[in-house]
Amino acid sequence: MSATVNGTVNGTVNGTAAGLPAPSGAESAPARPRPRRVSRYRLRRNVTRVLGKILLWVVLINFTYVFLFPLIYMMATSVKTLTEINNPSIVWISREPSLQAFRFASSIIDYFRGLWISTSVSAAAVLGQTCVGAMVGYGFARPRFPGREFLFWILLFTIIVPLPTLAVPLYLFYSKLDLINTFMPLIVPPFLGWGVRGGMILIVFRQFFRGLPSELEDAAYVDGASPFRVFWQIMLPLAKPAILVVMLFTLVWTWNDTLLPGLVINDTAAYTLGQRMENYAQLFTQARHSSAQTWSTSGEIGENVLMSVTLLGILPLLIIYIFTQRYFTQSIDRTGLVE
Amino acid sequence: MKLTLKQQQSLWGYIFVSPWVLGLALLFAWPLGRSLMLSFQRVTDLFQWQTEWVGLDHYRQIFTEDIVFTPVLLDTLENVAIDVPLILVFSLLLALLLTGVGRGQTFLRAVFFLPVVIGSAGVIQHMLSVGVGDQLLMSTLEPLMQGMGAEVDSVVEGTPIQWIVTRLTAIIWFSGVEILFFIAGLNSIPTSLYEAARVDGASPWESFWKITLPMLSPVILLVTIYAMIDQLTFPENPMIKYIMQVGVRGQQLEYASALGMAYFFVVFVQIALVVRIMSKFVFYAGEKS
Repeated sequence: MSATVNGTVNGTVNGTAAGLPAPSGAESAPARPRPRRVSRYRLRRNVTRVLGKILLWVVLINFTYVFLFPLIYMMATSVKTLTEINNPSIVWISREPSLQAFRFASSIIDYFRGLWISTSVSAAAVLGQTCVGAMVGYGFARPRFPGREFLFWILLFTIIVPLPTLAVPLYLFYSKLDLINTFMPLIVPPFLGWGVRGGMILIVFRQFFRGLPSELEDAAYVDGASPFRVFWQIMLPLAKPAILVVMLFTLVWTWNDTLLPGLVINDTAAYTLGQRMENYAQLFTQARHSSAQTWSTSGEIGENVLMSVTLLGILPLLIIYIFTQRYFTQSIDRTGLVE
Repeated sequence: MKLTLKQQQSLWGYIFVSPWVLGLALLFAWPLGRSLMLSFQRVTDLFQWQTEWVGLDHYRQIFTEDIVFTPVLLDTLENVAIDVPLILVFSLLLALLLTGVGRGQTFLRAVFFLPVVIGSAGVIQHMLSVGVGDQLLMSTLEPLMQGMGAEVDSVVEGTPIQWIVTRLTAIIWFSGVEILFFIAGLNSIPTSLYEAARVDGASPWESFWKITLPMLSPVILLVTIYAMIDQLTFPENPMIKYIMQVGVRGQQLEYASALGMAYFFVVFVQIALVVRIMSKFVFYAGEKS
């Protein structure tokens, strides 16, 4: 009886611990008076475990499908021709795949210009947000100074203020400085720790630094190091996991942001990639609602082009993510985000 | 003058946070104050920047005359009330399933975080404009239904299944970060607790309710706040779109400010309320309070 209870607990609660009792059971089996019964229990336990695993994987693979569906859909649709999209017998795989939609997409949104803009803006934001974010986060975590807790409460408060609340004064501020239609409003704030969702980044760093043992710093202080040197030479090299997580988050959030660019950049030639994508989506929706004939013939506005635009827009992120996801998922555990 | 270690520490503390404080003044406090002031004023001359005091006129207009604000606000609140609990349950479920997987976990985690990576405003708008939720529903159920000789539309139409699946696409776009939070939270629960419970004869079901949930409650609070902020401030949120439209394209600066302040007030009250209610149920193990 106790063996079966044990078996189900092992099988479902803690998959890794379930491996432990098995070898000991194998060793002690011959010594027991009725080995057959023991092995039957073990068999039953193993069957439950295997069935549990299979069920788990079936569920997870189904979820994987749901998560990958938008991406698969984009890929499948972008290589279709316009006639194939309207053909209900072709669900997934195009019979005559063509890259025509991509050609339309890249010329309509002037892809390479947008790519260049988004890449440089995001690179600057990542650099600023990571360096300054680490510094400010460390400042909130370790050195004690009067008013630290108060400032941290303000930091928490800033996170819940939506951008539109500040939009008008920010616009007036930037236009007074003559910075509308320049990239300065997108590049400079990250260097003050005020990039897209900057508050969250600071909290990630603060939590990480608070989780590190303070003995390291104490030793350095005894040896006469200044707080800056302690931060720069001891704490920062230890913060690699947090830095990696912050870099990816900042990249993704800056790349995907359309609110702030929408406020400060209104010249279509200077649009970021995200704005270009949004713009095309609006064009598509309008054309679709207005009349069916005009947009179905030209070929420049269609669902396949829409999906090509989308795919082109996220392609750089996708490539970077594929190469860094292994380090990323490992790092996120070590950032102590939820301590 | 020689500083003591303590003084030196506070000095460097201020230096470390000084860039952020500068940004706080320029990019947050000043705009927020000005937005608040502007919401009580009316611009009489845009180029000379002449304003006059109109008191609560804009707010009165927002809540009584504006035909967009109240419906959109109620809509947003309804969406938050429905989606946030769904996101919580969904991401906790996925995190629980993932921690039960040994090998292959890295791959699955990468997949489940994918929506955050590619989920830009443009993409979401694209996908919603072609009705991906329905597409997903069709492509999953069609083979199954054809096997039984039935049409998908006729069977699913108007049932909870349709509602859940179409909602699901909206939910997966917003669950990536939450899943990561929950996984980190689950991994931080000491396994000795589960072992002790097992020795005492607890079933997995019992140890979930008596160990996992209480130990996870701080993370649940964190995830709830994150999900709410995410839902209330993402660029495709109709309220955000409306305010930006009034301010940037409509050039009604003072009215947009008032709208922004009103919306912020609603967001603030909502989050404060949820934190207040939920923190009663949060259990902190150890010395943290």
